[in-house]
Amino acid sequence: MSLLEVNGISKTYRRGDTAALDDISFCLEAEHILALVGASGSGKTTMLRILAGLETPDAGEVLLNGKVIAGLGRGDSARSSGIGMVFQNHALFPHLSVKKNVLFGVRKMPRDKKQKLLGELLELVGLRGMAERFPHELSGGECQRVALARALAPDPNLLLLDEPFSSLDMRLREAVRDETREILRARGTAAIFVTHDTEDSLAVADRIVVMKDGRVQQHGAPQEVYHAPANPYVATFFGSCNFLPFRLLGSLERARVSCHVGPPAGADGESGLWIRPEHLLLVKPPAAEGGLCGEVVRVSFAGSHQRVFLKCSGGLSLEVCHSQGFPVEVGQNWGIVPVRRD
Amino acid sequence: MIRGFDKVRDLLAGFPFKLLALIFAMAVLVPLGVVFIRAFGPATEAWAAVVEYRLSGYVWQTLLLVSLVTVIALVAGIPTAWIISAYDFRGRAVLDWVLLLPLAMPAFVAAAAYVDLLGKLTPFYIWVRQEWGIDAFLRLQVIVPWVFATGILGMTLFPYVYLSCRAIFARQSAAAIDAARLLGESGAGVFFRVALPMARPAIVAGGSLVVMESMNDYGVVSLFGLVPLTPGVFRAWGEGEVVVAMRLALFLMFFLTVVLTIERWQRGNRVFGEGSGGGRLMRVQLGWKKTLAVWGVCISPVIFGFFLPVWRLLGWCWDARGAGWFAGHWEAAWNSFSLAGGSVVLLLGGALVLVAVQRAYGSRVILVAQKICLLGYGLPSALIAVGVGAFVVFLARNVPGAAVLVLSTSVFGLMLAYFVRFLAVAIQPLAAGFDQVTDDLREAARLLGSSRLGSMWRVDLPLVRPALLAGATLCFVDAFKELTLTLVLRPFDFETLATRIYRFTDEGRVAEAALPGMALVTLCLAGLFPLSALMKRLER
Repeated sequence: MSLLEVNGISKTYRRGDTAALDDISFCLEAEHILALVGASGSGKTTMLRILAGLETPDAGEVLLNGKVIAGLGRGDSARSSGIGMVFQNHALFPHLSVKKNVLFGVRKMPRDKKQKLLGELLELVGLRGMAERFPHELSGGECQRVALARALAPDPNLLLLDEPFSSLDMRLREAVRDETREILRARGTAAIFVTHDTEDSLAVADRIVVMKDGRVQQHGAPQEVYHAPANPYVATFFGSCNFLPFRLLGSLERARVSCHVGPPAGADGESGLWIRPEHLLLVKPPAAEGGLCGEVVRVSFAGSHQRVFLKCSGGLSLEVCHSQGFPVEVGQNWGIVPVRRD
Repeated sequence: MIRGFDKVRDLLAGFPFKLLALIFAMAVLVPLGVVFIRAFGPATEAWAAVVEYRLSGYVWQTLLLVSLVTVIALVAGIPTAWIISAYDFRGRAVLDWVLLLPLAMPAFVAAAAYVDLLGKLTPFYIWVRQEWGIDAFLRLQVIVPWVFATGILGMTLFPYVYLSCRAIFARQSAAAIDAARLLGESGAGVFFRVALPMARPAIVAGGSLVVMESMNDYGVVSLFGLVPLTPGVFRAWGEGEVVVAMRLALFLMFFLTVVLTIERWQRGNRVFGEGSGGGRLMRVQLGWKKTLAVWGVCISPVIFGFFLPVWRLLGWCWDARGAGWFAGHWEAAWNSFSLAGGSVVLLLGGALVLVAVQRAYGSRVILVAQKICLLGYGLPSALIAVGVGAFVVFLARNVPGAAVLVLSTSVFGLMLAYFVRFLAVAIQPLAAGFDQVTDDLREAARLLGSSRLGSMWRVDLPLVRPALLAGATLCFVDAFKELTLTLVLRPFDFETLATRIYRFTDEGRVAEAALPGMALVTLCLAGLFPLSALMKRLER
């Protein structure tokens, strides 16, 4: 039995509006981390708020350990069912010390046990000795850790995180992200986090649910979502992806291409292949008769590789991730072939 | 089905509070309702007489008074606000504070300090008569009281304009003003071409407060013998012509509504300025010559609106030292304190229900009630006074057992009137305080297992404590120095410090008014501290 089951949740804010959520279903195993990914307006935050009991769905139900915790007429019951939440801007109580913030949700516990719990949690999030500080004395990363400790303190069955890393700067972000993952692993707490950052979701989650316009686009492991996207939207959402229409590929090439991702159809219904830039190589122009050629229009340096943008015949634009070392300059003509995968 | 159940449960949540909120809204609407019902009843001959002989006088005096006072307040308030916001000079911090002082000087107390000067002008009158003839002399006798009355009101009310303009100069137009300076505009050019047009909503907001206060004033105008609408209402009320009083009150209401509508409309226009934040205004350093000039501009309204009256009142206090001292005032002081204290409890309790509980339940009913209660501040004092007065009489006549309400010992009517008039004063700082508690915090508390009221207690209230304190102080000071409502609605033989000051001044015993006057000013000064703290926080 899954820890959490979401069955056919729908939600419309105002009558006549398009649905914020339309028949959403997914499930989550114990001790797993799930990422709800989507652009803004995709409904991911609404879904999270329904799980938290902050909103009621119009249809469908949510089961935690087999018990219905959210559904029609269930109101606020999620609150009493052991679900914790980390808010986007942490929502630390500014008038309470770290200690009081962390212990806010812990009641009916003898004082010495509370003290022990506080010690454990602060140790876990790496904030030992900061119990008496106030939120305004903490850095962004520290605030995030206090928020995490506070949500973990009542020992929730499921932890929800709303864009937990979006308020942190790039360098801090990665560290806090990995740390959070380790902490959740160490406690064996299942978690669902909402993010618009695909990199965060690929790095942290065991399962990813991709949402768009209130619908689930794909539900799977990170590798699946990246390498076998269910549709063009998912393909382009997780990093850039080239679409090669069959009409521009020679029959020879077509036989060779084994590194394509996703379904053989473009966004406008034309049949072809999706190929990520790192799966394309630049070769000398006369490489293959009838093969793909293009003129370099822009080159941007990205550290470990160069991103080369080419304009090909037939109005096709391609991006190639070039890491072979030889120089490429704007205006040159290059042939393009897919990487051979063995 | 289940959905309907959810709705019913939502409606029932916090039901007692919703009921209370509705009762408060009703209370605020009572005077307005009473006045409307009675004013359109059958008229007496007295009304015809008033229309024939007095009405036009009331109206033009009101309009003239209000325009003169507003102009004076704008002329004093806008330049001072600009100087404090845009320049840095020796003593700027002092002036920043000093310019708030007139707020602690109730206009009728200042009037007490000036009214005897009218008598000392005799040699001047004689000189005018000898030099310019009898006509000039007669005209002067009409003009001089106007000069005094409008001057006193203008000099004590200008800080409203100063405060609202300061807030906008310091924050909203900072980026635009910096840009104008970098484009080579000089000081005066920046002021007239950028700062002044951008501050227009603030000027209108501050100006409309001045309009309201001067329209509601009874003490100053009656001490100088002016008869605009407010004293007119009370005159009719005193003569027992209830319908006349109410119709005149409706005239006041009409003028105020026009002013407040303009203010509203201007606020709606405030599209620019808001987003252009980007830091504080860089203050230009001034040399000593300009510093002197700037000091002159800033300090002169304060001299007339605060220092001169205080100096005179203190002088009289000194003269009267030893002679019984405060003896005669204790009872009035106690009355003032208990009335103001009781009002604070009522007003804050009411405001908490209207603001805090509204946040906790997100209830639309309470929000509507809150909007209605804010209206109370826009009602003319004279209308509240006669409306509540007539209501209390009505209760006493028609509700068995309620006769005790009009007995000389009852302050029921007075409390009701204060409640209507000052509820907005309590609601506004409180609402501003609650705005700082984001929904995130409330939701976090609830997800950690607190109930709605529990999270209110553990999260919201500790966070809004400064706002609560500011609201309490503002209400206390406002109720403490209230004169107009108190004069009409107080029980027989019941005196507060304010009415005592007014009575002594009216009877020509200004020296005796000095001590309670200084007591009042001192208390209002204490009330300035939380106000300026609130200002500082709003500026940040």
